[in-house]
Amino acid sequence: MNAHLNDDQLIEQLYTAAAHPHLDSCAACAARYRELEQRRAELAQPVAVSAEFLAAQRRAIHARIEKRRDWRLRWAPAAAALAIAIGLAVHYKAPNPAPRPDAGDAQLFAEVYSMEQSTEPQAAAPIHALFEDDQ
Amino acid sequence: MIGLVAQPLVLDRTEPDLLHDFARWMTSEQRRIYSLCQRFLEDRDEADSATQDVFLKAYQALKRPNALELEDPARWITRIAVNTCLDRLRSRKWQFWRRRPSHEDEQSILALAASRAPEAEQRYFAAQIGERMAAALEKLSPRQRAVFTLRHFEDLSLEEIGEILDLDVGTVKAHMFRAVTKLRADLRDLYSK
Repeated sequence: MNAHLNDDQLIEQLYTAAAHPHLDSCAACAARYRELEQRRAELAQPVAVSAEFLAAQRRAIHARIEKRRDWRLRWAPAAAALAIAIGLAVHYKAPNPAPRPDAGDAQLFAEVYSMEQSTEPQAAAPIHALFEDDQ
Repeated sequence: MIGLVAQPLVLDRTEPDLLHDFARWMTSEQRRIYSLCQRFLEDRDEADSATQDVFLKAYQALKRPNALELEDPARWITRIAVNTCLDRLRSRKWQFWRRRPSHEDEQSILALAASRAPEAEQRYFAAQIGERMAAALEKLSPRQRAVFTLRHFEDLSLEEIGEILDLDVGTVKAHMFRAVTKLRADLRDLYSK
């Protein structure tokens, strides 16, 4: 006959359903195993909680559901309006600025030419304004 | 022991009716889900908050127009609860101040210990066992804890645990084996009367 199962092996059997064929053939070990099953049921008693606590919890859940609904109702029109505004803005995109009629090639070349001819740095030009006579 | 038996969930999709049906179903499941959260989290306030999150998530999911009919609503809500608790356990790793039981829990245990009422001793030992079990569960990883809790407290088979956690039975067995190995001394103590 096989040796009896020890406590660790029985506990392992209880949780992992490990195969211990010895349990089928040994009445003593089977009885100890049933005791452990009963003990586990005792240890796993439901958590003590009052009806008032559960009622308060239900009220809190209900309030959170209502709050989410209110939030949705409040922001849904604003979000829809924003989406429409973005849609319209994308659809009717502002046209590109028309080219200035007076900005002809001749004027451009003249400006570039005068910049190249000048020996004074461009950034110094505003300083002259300080010394110019108003009259 | 808490089983996965509750009222079937028959829902009317119009919002006031949905809310009414949902409230009825929630009442039938609430105690079990709160107990499960309490066992995972070992903190009354956090279990309360997690239970609220679970039912809020469930309501949001059921309210969707394309929500599927549920074959097994009890298992579905258990799954939401387990995942909610796992998320909280994972984020708790950083919360070093949670190592002690709450002041309220400590006070209630001390009050029970001081009481002379005949049932007080039994309740005191039950509270002590709960405390010891909680301390033992702290040693486990969130996944091991989930597997162990569902087996020990909910008496689910390894196959059912696998379905809830989306794991194959072999993986569930491996987690359970590691959990039992870590808890061996504590369990031996709890099982010897």
